[in-house]
Amino acid sequence: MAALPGVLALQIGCSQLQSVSVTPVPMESGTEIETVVESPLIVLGIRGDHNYVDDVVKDLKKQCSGGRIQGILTTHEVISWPFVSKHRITASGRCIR
Amino acid sequence: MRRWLPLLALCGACTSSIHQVQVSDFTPYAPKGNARMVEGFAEERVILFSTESGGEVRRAFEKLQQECGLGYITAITVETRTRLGFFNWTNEARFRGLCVVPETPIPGPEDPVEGEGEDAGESPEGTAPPAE
Repeated sequence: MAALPGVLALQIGCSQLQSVSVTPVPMESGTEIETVVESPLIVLGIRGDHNYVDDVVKDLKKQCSGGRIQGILTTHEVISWPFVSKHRITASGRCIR
Repeated sequence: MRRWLPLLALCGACTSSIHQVQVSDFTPYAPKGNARMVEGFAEERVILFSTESGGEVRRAFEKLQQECGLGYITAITVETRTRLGFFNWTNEARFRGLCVVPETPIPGPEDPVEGEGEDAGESPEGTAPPAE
């Protein structure tokens, strides 16, 4: 029983869902597009900039130039290991042209 | 330490926490008469932290879209929650939305507004109207 905390500590290499958001889903099927951006590794909780978040919008726009994007499902996860973690944002949607 | 075990056992399988609820917008607006509620639900059991990241969310969203075949879905509510057990837990994702099947096609941003171009006479470049 005494070893249990140690075993649990080793198992922490997990991902936790932080938030989910969605926009209305269109009738047209369109083209499926998706982008995934990740933060730099965060060591001991000391984080750098958050500029990687802007890449989500830029990348989605690039994949659907001249169209409109609807039905966007966005998830924000934190993946953590002992002393180190990172954030991951995944956004997928339909490009309607 | 032995004292804590019964307490932990009591806490297991009887706890549930809701993490987040989000509601999307209600556009385009449509009367409720044309609409019906659809739902997509998925769950994933996690044992000792081992999990596929966000798998239940994607599956629930796919189910929601399958429930509404030829319509569009608006006013979508997203709910994520966790049911706790003894050394395991279950992540749940539930999407609810209003599936609207319009009687007439919704004009897109590039489609001409009704009434415009009626006085133009013939169709441009001599194209024939679509055959019925």
